[in-house]
Amino acid sequence: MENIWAFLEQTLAASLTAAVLLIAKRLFLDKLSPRWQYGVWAILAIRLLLPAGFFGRTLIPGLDVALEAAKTGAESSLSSVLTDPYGLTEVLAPIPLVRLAGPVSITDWLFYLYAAGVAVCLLRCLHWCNPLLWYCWDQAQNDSEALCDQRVLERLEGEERREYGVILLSMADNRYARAPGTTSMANGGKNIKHRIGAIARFKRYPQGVALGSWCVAVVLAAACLVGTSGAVEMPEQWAADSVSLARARMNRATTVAGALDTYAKAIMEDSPIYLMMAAPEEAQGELFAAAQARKGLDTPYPLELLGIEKEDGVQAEWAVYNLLEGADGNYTGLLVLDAYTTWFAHSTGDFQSVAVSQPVRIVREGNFWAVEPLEDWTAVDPECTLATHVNSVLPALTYTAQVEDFRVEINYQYLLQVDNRVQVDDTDFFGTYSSDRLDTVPKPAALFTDYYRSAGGRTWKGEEEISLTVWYEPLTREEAEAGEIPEQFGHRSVRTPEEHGLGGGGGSDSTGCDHQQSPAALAVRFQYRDQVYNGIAWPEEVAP
Amino acid sequence: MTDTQQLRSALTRIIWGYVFLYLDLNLGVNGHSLSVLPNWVSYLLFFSAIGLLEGEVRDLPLLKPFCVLLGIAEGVNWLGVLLTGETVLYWFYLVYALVICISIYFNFQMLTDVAALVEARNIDAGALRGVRNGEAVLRAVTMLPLPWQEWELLSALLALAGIVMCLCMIGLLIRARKMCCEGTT
Repeated sequence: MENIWAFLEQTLAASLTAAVLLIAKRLFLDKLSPRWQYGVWAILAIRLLLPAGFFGRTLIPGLDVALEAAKTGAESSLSSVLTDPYGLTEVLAPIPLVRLAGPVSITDWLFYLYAAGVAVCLLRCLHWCNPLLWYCWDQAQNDSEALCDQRVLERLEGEERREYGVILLSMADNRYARAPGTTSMANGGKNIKHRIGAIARFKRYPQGVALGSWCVAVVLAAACLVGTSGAVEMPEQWAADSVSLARARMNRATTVAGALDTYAKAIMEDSPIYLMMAAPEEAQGELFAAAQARKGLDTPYPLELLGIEKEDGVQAEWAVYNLLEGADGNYTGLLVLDAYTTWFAHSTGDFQSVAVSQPVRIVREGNFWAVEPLEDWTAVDPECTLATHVNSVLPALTYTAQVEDFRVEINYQYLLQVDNRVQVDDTDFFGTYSSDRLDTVPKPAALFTDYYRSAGGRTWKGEEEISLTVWYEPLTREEAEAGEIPEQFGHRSVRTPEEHGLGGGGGSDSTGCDHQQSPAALAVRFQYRDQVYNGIAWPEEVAP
Repeated sequence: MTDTQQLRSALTRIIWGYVFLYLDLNLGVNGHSLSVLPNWVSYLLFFSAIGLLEGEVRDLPLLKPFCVLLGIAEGVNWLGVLLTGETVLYWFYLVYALVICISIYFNFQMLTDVAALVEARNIDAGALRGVRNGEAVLRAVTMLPLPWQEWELLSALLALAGIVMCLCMIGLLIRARKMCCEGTT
């Protein structure tokens, strides 16, 4: 329906159908079952969805001709933008198809008014089963009538105002609420009473509060349309009630760091409800059941490998090594739990491992991240006494570049952490003192806050291994794919052959490190017999 | 009490009401910070001032139910801080938003009525109306869901504007009282 005439054609067809159905229903009132009586309305529903004149057919022959004649007669003196007075009226669709053109004639205005009404009614339809919203729409309709009253009263004086009230009073009869041929503006006797009351209050509303009322409306709109932060409270680690389980589902990890933090803490706390926040979809059902039954996790306690029992309450700091995004957008890395910082480490002898590691994959699931263990936990070589720093025991990513006859191999170890230290006050016989503890509550939206890096490498010319100083700079994937070699290299260099983990640097940023994963590639530069060579080294597993 | 004395008394209560409303003096109680100039006292003062002025300004009595509501809300908040250390109203965001709406309207209308009262005595109240407008807009703006914590400079400027606004408002009310009630004590 692109203009008021198409609407008239469509609504006439619908009205005719409705009239026929009403007559038929009246005729068959005591002859056919209620099932039929109700089911027959489906015909009207289908009629409403079919454009009038569909397949060139009509309900009453000649009606379309009369409508065309009326249209040409009315429109020939108007200059409507929506209607061609000499074109044929055609219903293309059973819904209003509004063109973006400024209304010119009365028929244009009527069509736009109709389309606006459709929009309002559509909103009502969206929540047809909600009685509160029906009530609200009725109130909105009454308010629009009240606004009309106010507008009328603003233009009337003295006796005319009284007459307007009398007219309204004469309509204060429920008979007129849906009177055919009217706009049903009376809307029932009760509403008329309200309107008369409002007329009596006319000019008694406080004046000069326009700005104040706008401010109130703005605050109401901000509150109702935007709302407040949807942050959901974190569940208790052993909670089993339905509210806590819902909280866990609503607190799923939204960052890679958050997923790893939640996973590590869930494993350490042996908490299925925590693990639900960082587990893949397929594991949710099992974890939900375990949490409801207040059971622990099926997986073995990782620190058992170090001789620590679950009940010992040992805390472990976690770090992820060599976190790298794969071609599928998921990440892999080596998760390490390090008990070095706890009392346990101080009670161990030499050659006792203090950390465990597990290769993990962090997969994207819609807006969330989940951790999938790729292997079982293993104890870290006892030579590594501080697994949350760079070291030569744990692996590095190998970046390789072929530059002419030279092969460059950089072993780059990059480890990331979330700062989980919290300061707590302890009181004992001697007084109160502060100490650092590890926060055991998951942070599903965390960013990596601490990083350490270290590099080693080897170089070959042809088949012969040679010694070179290689400068390197981390690159993003986009930079590497575009072949962007930085003009200036910093101070990061490797004198090959050199082992990784023996030196390096690091930093922290409480709002999140700049690099939340290992570099996608490394730009390398070296000099050999007065000639400078540049290249891009890619990690071995994603080398293009 | 003569009309002028009554007016003076009402305006004094309104001024003290705004002092209690805008000035926060906190005391550490049970590890919590409790206001010793509680806001609910403001609404008690406003309520009594409305009672004194309702014969003079037609619209003022309309504010009585809002005054009671706001007084109760502030009382509940104050007790909440005293007992739990938390502002209870913040737990119910939409109720809190409604209370803010009511308080914006209340302050706006209260100052409109005071301005009308002053103008009825042939004293210019344009500045008071200006401050009234500024206060309403400022409060509405601060309720907008914007990243205020990140926009530190703008937040600081708005806070400064708020302080200036409330100082101006109290100053203008004192001036209005003085001009309206000259000759009385």
